[in-house]
Amino acid sequence: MASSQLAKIMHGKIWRFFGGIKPSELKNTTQTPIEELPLPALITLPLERHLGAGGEILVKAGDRVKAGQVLTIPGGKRNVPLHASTSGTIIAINQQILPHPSGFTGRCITIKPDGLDEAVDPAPISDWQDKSPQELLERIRFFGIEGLGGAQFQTAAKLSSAIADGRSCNIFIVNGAECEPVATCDDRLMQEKAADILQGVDIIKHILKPKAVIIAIEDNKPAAIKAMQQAAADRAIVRVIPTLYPSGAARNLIKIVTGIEIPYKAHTSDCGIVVDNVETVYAVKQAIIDGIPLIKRVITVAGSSLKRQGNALVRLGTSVRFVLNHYHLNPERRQRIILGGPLMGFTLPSIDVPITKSATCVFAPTAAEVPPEPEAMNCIRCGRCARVCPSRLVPYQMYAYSKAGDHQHAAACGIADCTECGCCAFVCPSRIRLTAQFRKEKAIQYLLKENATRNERARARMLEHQKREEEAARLREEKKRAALARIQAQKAAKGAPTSAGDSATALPTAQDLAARRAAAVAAAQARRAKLQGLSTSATSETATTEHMPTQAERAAAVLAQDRADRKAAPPAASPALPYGLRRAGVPKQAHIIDAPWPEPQPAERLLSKVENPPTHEIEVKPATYHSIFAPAPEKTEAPKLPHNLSKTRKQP
Amino acid sequence: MQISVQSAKQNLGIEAAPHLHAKLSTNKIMALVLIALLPGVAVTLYYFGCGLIWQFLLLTVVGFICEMLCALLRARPLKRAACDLSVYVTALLLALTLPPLMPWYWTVSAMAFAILIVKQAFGGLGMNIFNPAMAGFIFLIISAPGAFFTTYIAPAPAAIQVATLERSAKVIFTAEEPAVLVQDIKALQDDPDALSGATFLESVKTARKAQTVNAIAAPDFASTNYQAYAALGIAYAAGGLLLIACRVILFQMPLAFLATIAAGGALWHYLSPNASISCAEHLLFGGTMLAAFFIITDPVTNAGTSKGRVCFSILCALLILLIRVEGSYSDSVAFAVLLSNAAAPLIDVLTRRRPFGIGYKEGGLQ
Repeated sequence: MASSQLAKIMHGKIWRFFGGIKPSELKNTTQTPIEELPLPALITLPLERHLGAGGEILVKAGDRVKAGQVLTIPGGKRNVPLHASTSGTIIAINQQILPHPSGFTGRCITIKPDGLDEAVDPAPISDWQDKSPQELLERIRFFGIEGLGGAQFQTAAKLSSAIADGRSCNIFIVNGAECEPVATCDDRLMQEKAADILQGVDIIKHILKPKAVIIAIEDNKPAAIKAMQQAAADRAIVRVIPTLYPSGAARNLIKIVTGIEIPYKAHTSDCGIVVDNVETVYAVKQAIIDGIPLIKRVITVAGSSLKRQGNALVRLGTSVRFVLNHYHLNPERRQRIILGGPLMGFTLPSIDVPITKSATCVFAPTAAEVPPEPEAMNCIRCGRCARVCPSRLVPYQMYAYSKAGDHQHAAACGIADCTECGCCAFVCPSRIRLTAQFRKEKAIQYLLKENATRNERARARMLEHQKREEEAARLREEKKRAALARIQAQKAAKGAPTSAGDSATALPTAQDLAARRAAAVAAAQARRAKLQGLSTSATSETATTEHMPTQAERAAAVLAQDRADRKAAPPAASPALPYGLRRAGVPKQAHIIDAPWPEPQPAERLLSKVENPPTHEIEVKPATYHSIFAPAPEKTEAPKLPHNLSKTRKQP
Repeated sequence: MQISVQSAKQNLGIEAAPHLHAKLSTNKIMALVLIALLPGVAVTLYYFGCGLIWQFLLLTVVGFICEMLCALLRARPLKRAACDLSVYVTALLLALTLPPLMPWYWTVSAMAFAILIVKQAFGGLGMNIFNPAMAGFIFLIISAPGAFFTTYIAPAPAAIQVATLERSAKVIFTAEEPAVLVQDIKALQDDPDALSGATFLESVKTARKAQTVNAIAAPDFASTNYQAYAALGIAYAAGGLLLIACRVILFQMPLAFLATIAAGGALWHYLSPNASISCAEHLLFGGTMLAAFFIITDPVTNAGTSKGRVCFSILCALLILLIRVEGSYSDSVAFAVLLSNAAAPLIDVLTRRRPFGIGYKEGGLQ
């Protein structure tokens, strides 16, 4: 079956995924060549994806950097280093607004370009055919290559997981579908750099050794198809797929090209299929053959509010404001600036945000081009959303559950499979914000799951705690029982010889009590008689029997003696002793210390220009990783020796 | 807070993705349904007289008032309630199903029941379980069965000339006896005494109990007695095709519905001709054609997915056949629709679609 399906794939069969929509294309910039934008006035590079746990920033404010210089060492395996996208001075490492629909802030490195645009020397690998896949993957990772289609998944991780553990890669798909309306950057790149993209395909073929390489392009890009077919020759299959909206999403593309539906729980690379965007492939070629890290990307700048539209090669970290200025934005009232395409992108709350690797498109439509969203009406259950959902969900049900706060049912409907492609909200005749609600619901589900795991952990901890407590109680009980047994044994040992004479332990009988009372009365009378100077032999006899001192009485007497002694002796020597050793204990009154408080020292002056300087000196350690074109500095300083062995000490 | 502050500063528009939308909106759907009903309305006017106009106006006014009242009670914006066209669709469907000379108080109470209880008590547009027009119809057929017999018009060509606006208004609004007008219209037919009952299905009902359906002469749809039904069927089908062309309704639904009725009716007629009328009579008499294109395709009271909708249509068609042949009412469309509406959630559960990625094997191709 397997080989027959592969044969079908090679033969050119095209499958069809469920649902999908055909929105208006709005691709006006297909004929506009890619132009490189001038240097912006400021470059802001977000750090969030380039640090991870244990990551390091290699520079500090005031440093001079060159284009392509490594700025961070990533901590996690999923992160890639950050590269400076032009030469200049780092003016701040602080919180800046990120390109996010909520306008969150995050840590960024801000570079003031010096206009010279000096770059570190490129380090091409000319003999990449002879290198091992691991070496090439390492290069791909350390040259900062991530998925440029929008998801920004690290390419090296994706490629290496496809060949890890002796797995073999079946099919490598180059994603040139570009189904998003407005975006034409991949289209233009394929038209202009087809040969370079094919070189990138060769490199990835060398790494993955797949059974088939398929370049999938939607049939609304005839020029790109022609260019790629010419460049590909027999090195790869160019597959023309019908234009249908979410065909560029990885799983849908795999379904179209191979007929395999990969569930959302599994990874695409687990079943031997790797999908990479054309621009990512181009970046791989640049990293290996040209030796240039990923510091620029192509974006489409479109929309009727702009005087010019086109495809721009921008440096990462250029602000959206700069790009829009360059294309002469003439904003209308409440102008919407959409980062990403009109279906998956989001409106920016501020245009002072940097272009990152995930931005494909900046869209500034007028109200005539993209009418503002009208008010939502009631759902009439027309079922259009269920007919277009490429993930085979029933969105209106999910929406109803989610709106009602029934998160369990929403999860049971399969909200986890939602890719937020926006098909359902596109077709909804009542203009319900389905996708927005699902995004919210997913966040809630995530929180709920986190809460559940936290509760689970707490419960486990509590159980352990209880077990410990029980164990301790049991031990205590045992100890107590042992002690009791010991005491009883002692008592038995003590009581056996003197059991008859021990009146204290024996229960007093009524006669006994009466006798004792009589004796006490007699003793009192005797004391009074003694006071009066009279004494009788009878009373003295009873007194001696009465005052037989027990052990407790003796102890009490010793204590009383001690107390009296202490009262009698004045604490003359005690002040000289420290508190803990004084017999009289802690003094009642606190002593006032006369010594003056230390004067507060003025804090070290910070650089006044820097808004939010790092609180500690950033120490530049010799890099554990060294870039190929910035080799590790020679270790000039002598190795430090322990003090007792140091040379300075031996010298006279 | 961050959003509002920053967007206020830069005065940028904020919207949720996606920013593009398809052209069809809910109100456009309702307007298209109203337009698609126009051929049916024209044919009804021609063969049944002007009573329909009065009924529709009456139903519209009552429906509008009820909607406004509910919007007030529920503290919803009145403007949105007024812009909602769905109540006019309900009104027109109810007007087409009720006898044209129905006394006004019955019409008003049917509409009030349909809007206030069937629709708004469940939460308004999109939340009702039962089709409001059909529920209103059943409300009347159960509570005032006599009115149906006295006010039903046997269709005749050019009945609009006899049952003018004035004459129908007199019958509907003043308590004038409708029998005179009904007889006047019946006189226009070729053979006024062909039928014993008010309608063909009514006369079949009595014959059915006596197991003598076969004895009733098969209706000739070319004669003036019955050509109204053929014309109505064609008019509704034309409107339905418009809706299918505009992608308002799924073509699978009327197709499955009509095919089931035709096949089931033909089979039953073949097996026991004394119990069941023939296939063509099943299709053209009663509300079958109206139901096929306008009633069972109501999205609100339907199953969700396409597969579920086809199941819904087939179930509804089978119920229609069953009630028509075995039941004690002359027509069964309304009952069948309400019963299938009640079964829609169950159909939804039974026709749950498989999730994405079933049939995936580890390793994909191997």
